[in-house]
Formats: sequence, C-alpha cells, structure tokens
Amino acid sequence: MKLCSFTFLSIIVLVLSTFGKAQSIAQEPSRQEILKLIPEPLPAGAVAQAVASFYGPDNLYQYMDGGADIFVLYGVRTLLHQEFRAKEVDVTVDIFDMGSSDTAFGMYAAERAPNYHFITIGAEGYQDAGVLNFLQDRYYAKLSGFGAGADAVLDAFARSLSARIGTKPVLPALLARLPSENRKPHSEQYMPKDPLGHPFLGPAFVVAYTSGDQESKLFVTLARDEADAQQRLKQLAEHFSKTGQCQAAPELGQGAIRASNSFEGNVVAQTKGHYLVLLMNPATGGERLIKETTGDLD
Amino acid sequence: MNDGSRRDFLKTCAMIGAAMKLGPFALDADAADAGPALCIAHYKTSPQGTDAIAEEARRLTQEAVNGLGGMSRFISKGDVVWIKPNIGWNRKPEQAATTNPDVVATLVSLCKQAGAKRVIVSDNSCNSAVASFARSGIQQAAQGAGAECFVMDENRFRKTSMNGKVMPAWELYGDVLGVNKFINVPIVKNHSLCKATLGMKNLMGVAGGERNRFHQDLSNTLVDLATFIRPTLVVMDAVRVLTANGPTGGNLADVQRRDTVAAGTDQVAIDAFGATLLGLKPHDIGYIVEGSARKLGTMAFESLMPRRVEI
Repeated sequence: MKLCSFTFLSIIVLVLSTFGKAQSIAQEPSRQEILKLIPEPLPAGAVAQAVASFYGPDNLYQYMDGGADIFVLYGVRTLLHQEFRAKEVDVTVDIFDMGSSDTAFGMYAAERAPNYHFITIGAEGYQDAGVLNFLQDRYYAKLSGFGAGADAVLDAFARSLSARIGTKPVLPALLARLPSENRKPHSEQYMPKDPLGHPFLGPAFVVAYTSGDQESKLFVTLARDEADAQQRLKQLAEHFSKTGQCQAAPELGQGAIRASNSFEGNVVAQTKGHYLVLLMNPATGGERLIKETTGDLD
Repeated sequence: MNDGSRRDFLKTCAMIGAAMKLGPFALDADAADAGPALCIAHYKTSPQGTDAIAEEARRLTQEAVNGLGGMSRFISKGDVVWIKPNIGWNRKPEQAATTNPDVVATLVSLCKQAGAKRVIVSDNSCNSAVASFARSGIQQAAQGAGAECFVMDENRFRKTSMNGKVMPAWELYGDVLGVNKFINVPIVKNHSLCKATLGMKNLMGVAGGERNRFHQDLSNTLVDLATFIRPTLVVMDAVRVLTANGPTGGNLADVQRRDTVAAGTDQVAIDAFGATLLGLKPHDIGYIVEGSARKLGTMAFESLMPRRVEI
C-alpha cells in the first residue's frame, strides 16, 4: 500500500513538473518573439539600463499588483519590461503579448477613453505627457518617459517598435463592417467573457451609438456557428422572459426579439450567421441600426 | 516570582492583551475620545502651478490634522512613527498614482514637532522601489523633513500571526511591528479590480509574500489586515485623484483635482468618504461593507459629524 501511494505521488509530481515545464516552454517562444521587437539600434541614442524582465499570467501581479487581473482576463501571455535611458530621458517600455489581435484590442480599448489624444501609430495609439500607448497585431505597447524631451523620445521608440512588429496596423476587421453613422468615436470594446454579465454572450464586440442625448450599445457576439448563435438568442429570450418581458419582432427579421426588464432596459436582438446582434437601449428608429448591422455581416 | 517581576509580568500580559484587542497602533480610549473622528479639509479653488499645489497640499494636511485636535493627540514625545504612503508606482506626483509628497513631508514635520524620536517613511512598492521612491518625490520630501526613508529589505518580512477571519497569518514587514505609532497615508484612486484603492487597501504595502492571494478575497483579506494593523491615524490624500486605469495610472487625462485632504481615526469611515470622491457609494466597495459589518468602523461617515474646514 505504501509503495502504491509513493508511486502514485511520484506520478503526480512527474505530471505536474512536466506540465509546468510545458508551460514554461510555451512561454519561451513568446518571450523570444517579443524580445525581437526591441529595436536595434535603439532609437534616440538610448541605452538599456538592464536586461529585459519577463512576466506571465502567474506572476504579472508582482509588477502590476491589482492592475494585473484585467490583463489576465484578456489572456495576456507575456509582458516584456525594460528600462532605457536616452540622454536626459528615462524610458520604460512594457510590451504585452496578448495572444491575439482581438484580445490585444480588447485590453487596449479597456484602458482608453474617448477624450484621449489619439495619434496615428500601429492600429491606433494615444499620447499624453510622458505616456504613449499603442496597439498593433497581438501586442499592446505601453511606454512612459520622464525628463526633458520625453515625448519625442517616446514617439521615436513607439515608431521603431511598430516597424519591428510590422504586421496588422489595423483595428479588428469586424469593426469596419459595423455602421459608422452616429457611432461614438473610440467607444469600441471587446469583451472576452460575460458581456452584460451573461457567460453565453461572450466573446463580443461592443460599440456605442448616439442619437441626440440618447446612447445605445450595439453588441455583436461571436458564436461558434449558426446553431450556437441561435442557441444564444434562445437563452437571451429565456432570460428576459423570466426577468421582464420578451416578444417576437418579425418586423426586424426572422427570429428577432424585442425585450425589456427593469435593470437592463430595452433590447432588440437578432442572429445573422454565427453572430448574435443586440442593441441595448435602442433610440427611436434604432431598429434601422440592427438591420444595417446584420445586412453587412456574413 | 517576586513582586517586581510579577508586576512586570502582569504589565506585559496587559499590554499584549490590549494590543490584541485594539491592534498594534490603535489609540487608547482617552485619545480616541479626545476629539473628532474625522476632519475634511478642502480648498475652495484649485490652485495651478507646482508651487501653489505644493502649498495647498501642505496647508490642507495641517488643517485636517489640526481639525482632529492636532498631531499631539496622536504622537507623544519619544514615539517611533511609521508613515505609510503609497509609493507603489514609478510615477510622478501629478499622475496621482502615489501619495502627494508634500502631504507626506507635512506629516513628518508635524510628528517631529509633536516630539517623535524617529519618523520612518516606507512602502513595499510594486514597480521598481528605487525608481518609485525617487520619481514619486516622496523620498526627497520625506528626508528633507527629517524622516528616514528607505526601500524595504525583502529579507525583513516575517510571518506574523493575525488571527484573521480568512488570514490566520501573513508576512508583514518586521520593522513596522517594532514601532509604536502608524500613520496610513493613502491616495484616492480608481482600482480596476476592487473599484477603489483607499486606506485599507493601502495597508497592503506592509505585506510581503504572494500578495496576489489577497485579491482572491479582497473584502476579507483587507479587513483582516486593517483589523490587525489599526493605524493610529489615517490621512487621506485627495489633492489629486486617479479616476480611471488604477492602480497604475499614467495618463494625466485620468487625473482630476479634488483639492481635499481628510484625516480620521475610523478606517471604514474615511474610506467611505474617499469612495464618494470617485463618484462611488460606500456600499459599492466590498471591503468597506465588510469592515462595517465587522464593526471595524462605520460606513455612515456623516454620522461621525465630521469637522469640515473650507479654505
């Protein structure tokens, strides 16, 4: 019995250590790839102050404390952190490999606000005194600088990084297919999990639209296939039937619903292919937005 | 055991018992009743310019502490004081991720004037400690006012029995436990995980170990920590507040002026007040609700009839 227990424990230890090693190995390619993004030669005559540090989902909190959780939620794979000095400017470079361009966009969008000063770099970026953050491909780069001339140094660093990334200097393709009229600039978001608190709605892109003083939110959820999208619509209808009211809206299209409850408000929803499209708090005539959206989706 | 050693023994037992009941640094009953529990000092205008804001921070801090009865209510001659600001991040003061250095320096001066033998200013930073201490301006300001300000030594954390609801023990900085007065000096900030980082959250800076485990149950872990530490005084910096992308911040567009410094002895009440500065209600914050439920303090800060000073 003792021998069996020892053998069992040994197997467990072997499996766990192999898994841990596999995790570490999985992170290694990410680290190697992200390290290649550091420009050579460094821009603005910068000199590295130390070798790069790497963090993964398990230890990102050591660098960011509670700020790490949202990055983990968005699927961060690796953070490269490195400090540089360019003449009088101290530069901190943080490059997050978010695993995919959608999750990188999601994380970038979670931190931006519509009133930021946006600049043309990568897919999109914004700048403030001593800060420059931008998005490109699956990377979210956050640069900060201190000292006279910091903003120019950050700009040089960012453009060099962008050139090294090379690929996909565009926002997620789906966003370009959504209606542009009355769209609130820089309001787009990506929610990998639990949009509106409903696990069955994730992942989803969200965009705000304005009509006068009223703001509506358009959710486009990404289902696995057409059947999954219809199942999500069914779950949504069941939720609203239990908590408020729900009825068919054939004027919007086959299977469309119109629903409401006291805490989520009004919603219209419809599927198109593997998408479930919801419009929360639709303005008068907001159904046109749903029809335009579904018209442009495959 | 002779009478002398028996007296010493009983005195030691009483001290340990008192500490266990009140927490290491809590005021005794006389001092606790010697004045208001909360004072809120506010500038009616928002001065512009580095020097004017520095002067504002100094004056607000003095008025907030004076409104409680002055620092001599809390600090006595010979005291060794630990001042715990937020020095967590490699950020400049105007980015509002770290405590205003002029608030910290003013507190150091007030403690010295009240007769403190030593004043220590430190924190367990998240970013590079050397960079954070310098860039926040706190190291220079604190040392200029006469404090000892140093980066924590990772070898000096020691496992400490806390008898908490969810935390029986945790690694706390040994030197903190050796002082006799503790002043918690948070800055009011948005926090992406728990909505707001205020006083009780700021106490994490005396903890070591795998601090991410706190986040698995922040409401209970923070209240356990706050129940054990029980600061002598809390002085809340809200000259500037971070309204988004906390706790790290960085973008000045996320910073707003509140031109306020609050001081108090009720940890829950002062955090409840701080939440309102971010547009939140106290019951939106889990650890405030838990602290109130455990009677560590009251969420209904207005019931304490706070002294308000308008400048």
